[in-house]
Amino acid sequence: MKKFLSKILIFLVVNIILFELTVRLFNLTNDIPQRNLIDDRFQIYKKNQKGVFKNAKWEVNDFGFLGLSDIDYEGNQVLLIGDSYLENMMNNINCNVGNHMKLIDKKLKVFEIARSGMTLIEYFEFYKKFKQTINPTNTVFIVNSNDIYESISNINRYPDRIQVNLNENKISKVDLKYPNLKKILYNIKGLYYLYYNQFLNFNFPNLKSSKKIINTATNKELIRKLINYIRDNYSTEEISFLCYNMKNYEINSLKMLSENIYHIEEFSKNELIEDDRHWNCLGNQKVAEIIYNKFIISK
Amino acid sequence: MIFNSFEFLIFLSIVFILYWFVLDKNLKIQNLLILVSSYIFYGWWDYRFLSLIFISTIVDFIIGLNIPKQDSEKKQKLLVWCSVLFNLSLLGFFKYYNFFVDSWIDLFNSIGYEIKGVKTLNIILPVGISFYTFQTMSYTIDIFRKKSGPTKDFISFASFVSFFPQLVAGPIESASNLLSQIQNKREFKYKQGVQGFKLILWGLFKKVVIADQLSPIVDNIFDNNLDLGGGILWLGAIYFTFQIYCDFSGYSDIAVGTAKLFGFELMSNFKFPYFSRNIGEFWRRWHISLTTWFTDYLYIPLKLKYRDKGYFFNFIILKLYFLTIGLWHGSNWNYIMFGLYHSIFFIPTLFNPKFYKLKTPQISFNTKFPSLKEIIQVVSTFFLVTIGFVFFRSENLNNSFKYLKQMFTDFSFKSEFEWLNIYFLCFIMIEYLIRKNERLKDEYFKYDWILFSILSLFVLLFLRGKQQFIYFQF
Repeated sequence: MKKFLSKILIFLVVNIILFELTVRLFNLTNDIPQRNLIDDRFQIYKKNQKGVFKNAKWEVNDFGFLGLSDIDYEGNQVLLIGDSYLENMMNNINCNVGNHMKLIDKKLKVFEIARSGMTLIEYFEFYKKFKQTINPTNTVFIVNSNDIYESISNINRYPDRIQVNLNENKISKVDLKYPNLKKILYNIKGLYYLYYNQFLNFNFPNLKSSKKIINTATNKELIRKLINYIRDNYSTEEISFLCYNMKNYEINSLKMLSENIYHIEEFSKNELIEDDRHWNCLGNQKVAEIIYNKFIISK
Repeated sequence: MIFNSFEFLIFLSIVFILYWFVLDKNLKIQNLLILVSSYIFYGWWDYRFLSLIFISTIVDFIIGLNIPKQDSEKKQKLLVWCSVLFNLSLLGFFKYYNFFVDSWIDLFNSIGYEIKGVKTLNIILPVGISFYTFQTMSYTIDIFRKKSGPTKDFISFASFVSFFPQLVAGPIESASNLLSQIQNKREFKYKQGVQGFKLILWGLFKKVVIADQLSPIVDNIFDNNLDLGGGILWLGAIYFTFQIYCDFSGYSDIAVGTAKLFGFELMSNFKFPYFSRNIGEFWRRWHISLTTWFTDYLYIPLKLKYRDKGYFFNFIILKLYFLTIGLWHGSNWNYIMFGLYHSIFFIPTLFNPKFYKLKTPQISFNTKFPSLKEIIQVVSTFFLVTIGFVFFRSENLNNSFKYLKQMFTDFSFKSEFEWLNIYFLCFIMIEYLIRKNERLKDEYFKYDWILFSILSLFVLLFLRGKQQFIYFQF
């Protein structure tokens, strides 16, 4: 047994090293920026980080985001807030929505606040925090259904996101999700490769469903409560909403916050990244043109 | 829990340590560990499945104990039939109920009679039910035939029924092989351990690197067969032939390898079937435990019973044998057709039982390379097998005939799909090199660990989520 175990151990160690080297040599994993939690609520990326995600380069700006960070004091400032779609990590920065808008109108200055997994409440929180610094003349939230539901901790609790508890009308506590584990994962590329390819997910047997099943009537009631909460706690009039992948009643609810709202019915196949639901450069260009035509020119 | 998952890696390590380092002094406790870990392994899918396997175990345990106690063969036979009927009812309800209801409704509809009030049920097929019910049936039948005796040790018997390495997709073991090993003290043997480890790696390579990579290409071709040219359809059929082999034999290798780590020897389920020189040899090398089961418990008893009845009865028995093999795979006309298709090739054996007899036990037995005759034989057998698998893989019977028609009438080939990848060809070469020993030797050459390092590197690079094994659905 001793001989067997020692041989297996040597075999495993040699192979783990070989695997790690292969993954590093052929750049088989994506780089993911590490995060900081500030004011016990906001997750922004640690500064001075650079990396490559699906062959696209990213770099964290001085504000802790990956997108454009123009600031203009002459009244051409646009602020865009969104999730991974706007963050656009899978494309190079010259492909961002903001850059496409600047190609349409060179006078524009665009600031993008975006991070994967952000909720609608998080958009408003970031808006509140950065409004004075950026002083935008136009603010556009890029919203989909998930952003709305993931804002409500009563539906599903996501401890690493800003959510509101609608029973208590209170923002729930935010924690960074496994920061130390992530540090290990991002540094040991082989481990991250297996994690990214969903091998390292440990699934316990499903004894009962952990996700709450909510019907449409309950959804509508929760969204109504969420909208009331937003109206009571944030200024919303100057915000425009660009919606996608949303149902009519969800769009109508947002109309209670602002009249400037536009819904993109669908994206064609050539506007999406293959094997991914995110927009490619063409998709980003389409979004930029819609924002410019529907919200910027009309003002 | 599936073999190519992180959960199984953790599970296997824990059970291995407990088995050899903590509970190795006491056989009964070691067997209890096998039983508990097997139930955890099985319950990981759905804890509700456990009740079925437990009931099946209890019923056959009690029947097994009572068979020798009966004073007449008639009573013994009655008990065996109870066991067989119980297991077949279990299987029939969970696996075939909806199929038979649908088929009856379709049949009556086709003659203009509408059946009302009969509905199909929303039944989940318990994983591995076809495997363990056959295993328990063989236990009681063997007791009746006095091939083996009943055990009074419930833990051993329950471990035999639920032994986790082979629980969900075989090999279907006989009590004389597996139960007797469970009842005897095991010792860790270095060579057996190394073989087991190599088999696990080899099985994972077949599953993860070959079968799972072919899967999306095959799905794409079979899902869009009406819009594709014959050349691509041939490629799809060949790819599927390799996919199902690598998927299922990969599972069997991991099962045999895992059992070896615990000191058990399971029967071989595959012996390089695609190097077969005729269809007879193919069925001696493909899913061996299933064909052995049907031969021992269906074909031979029927043949003996009706031996004087002439060719017609033999023909019916032959058809029945392959029909049940097809139907075993699932409640689908495609599987029945798959079985009947293969039965056609065995008609000559009715007149000449030695029709498929070969001079050597395998291809290029005493030579390095196969002869031209052998190459032609292997290619033509592979061709027949590939056509059979079109029935197996297609969505329905109608679709499989359209697929085959296109294969034989349209010879266009658009090169949209990649040709065989290099690793795919490497695999065939390795299979050829190891063709004499499906269990893998503990050492092929001095530095063969380099080869296995490369295999494991490929496995790690190609691992994606939790890809199910095809045979779990049966």
